[in-house]
Amino acid sequence: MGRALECVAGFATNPGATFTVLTPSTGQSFTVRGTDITKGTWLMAEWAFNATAGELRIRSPRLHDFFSGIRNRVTAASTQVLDGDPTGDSYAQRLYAQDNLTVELTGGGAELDTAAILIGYEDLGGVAGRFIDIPTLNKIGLNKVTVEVTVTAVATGLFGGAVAVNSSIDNLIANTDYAILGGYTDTRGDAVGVTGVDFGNLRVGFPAEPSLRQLTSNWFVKLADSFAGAWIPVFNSANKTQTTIDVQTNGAGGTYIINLELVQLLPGQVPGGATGAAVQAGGGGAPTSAGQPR
Amino acid sequence: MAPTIHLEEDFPKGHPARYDYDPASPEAVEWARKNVSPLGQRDFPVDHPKAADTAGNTNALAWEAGVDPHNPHREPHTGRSPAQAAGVAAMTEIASKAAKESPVLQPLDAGEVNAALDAKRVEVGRDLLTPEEYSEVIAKIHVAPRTPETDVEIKARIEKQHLALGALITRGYTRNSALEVIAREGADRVLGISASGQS
Repeated sequence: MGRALECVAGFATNPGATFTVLTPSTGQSFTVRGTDITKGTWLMAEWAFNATAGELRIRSPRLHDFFSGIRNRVTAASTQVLDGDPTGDSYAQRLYAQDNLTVELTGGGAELDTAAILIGYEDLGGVAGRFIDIPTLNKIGLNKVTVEVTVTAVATGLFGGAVAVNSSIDNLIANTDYAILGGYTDTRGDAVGVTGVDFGNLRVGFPAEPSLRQLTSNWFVKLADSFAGAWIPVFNSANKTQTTIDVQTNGAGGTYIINLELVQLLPGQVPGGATGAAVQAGGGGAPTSAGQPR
Repeated sequence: MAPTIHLEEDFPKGHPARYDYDPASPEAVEWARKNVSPLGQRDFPVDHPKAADTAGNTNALAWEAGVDPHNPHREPHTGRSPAQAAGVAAMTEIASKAAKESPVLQPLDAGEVNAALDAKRVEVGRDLLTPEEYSEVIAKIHVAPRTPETDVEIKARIEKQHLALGALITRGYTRNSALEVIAREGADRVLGISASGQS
């Protein structure tokens, strides 16, 4: 199964009161990936970061209607989840392969306004990431650990400033799988992205909102809980130099301290991972049993 | 050592029941201020920090996320002074102008790539590969065709799937069951059945 999760973010320049189609970040598109509509594809969350209050609208003839669709108010200077809130049992909108979503924003007349959507693919042909569900996390989880990086965002509304997860603190155990529970940002932006080969080279992400720490700290666990599936991304520390964190924000740019909340996993339990067998077979001395007492 | 004599009074000074009660005395006025509530029962006693009539109470403070209401001049979430915040903003502006957009990566299958990366690790005898070695491995994967279909063929097939989905929903299938039927039988067959009116 080619499971994948992708955070697609874009911006509108000086939208004012006019619904303006978002320009996606370079290399991204609001066209749903995939080649088969029978494969489950879900709009799991959407959020926006406006300096001036506006509206975020997502529509498609394949969805409810192409007139207004999913339209929500964006309050100023607060990156709030506007649809598909993963804090509770939510309803994920089904999406269809190759459907070109129209994602639009209104907002300020002299600013970049930004928004992001998170799409979950249950089986994306030719692309596959490594994800686990909550029972698996509880079964093979060992220790919590945090990686902290400093990201300097670009001021163009695109994802930028990508740095490796070990760029600030290199404390991950060699050849070991880590699940990403979620993360924190200390500065407001639109989206925090994490990219790597273990996620199929797609960008998983969460809202860059410092006042929603209880939401973002275990964002992916909440997604896995709310949408009842394996949506917790896993990467191997053997790929740490190529697993990067970046930020997408408005025209102000900014310097972001990003913390990713990780859980070290038992080695060899999540399919598709690097074994790192070249030098350190056995996962760097990781224990052989794990699990929470529940 | 002489015993300590403790004189216990029946009522405090100013209390109406005290033997020397004088309604005009400062003690009586203060007692009345603290104990008489003409408007009814109070939520907090007189002079309580949260009482509405306590001078300087903090009831009207807005507790916004990241903002210290006692130091509203400080930058939200960081607590920096205005001078510090201005300095950091100036430095950040310079850094953001110099920052680079994130590289665009081509999607791939993590299992396939990790297997190839492991083979490369064995080959070079190191766990951590250089960016060039990563690129070399991934480039080899990217040159292989991902799908036997062309974009036009994929678009035509998906359009047919949508037609089949519409046909099945019109015939009373739920969306999920219709998608299961299309996945199992194929859109061509579903459309053939639908066109002939058979169930």
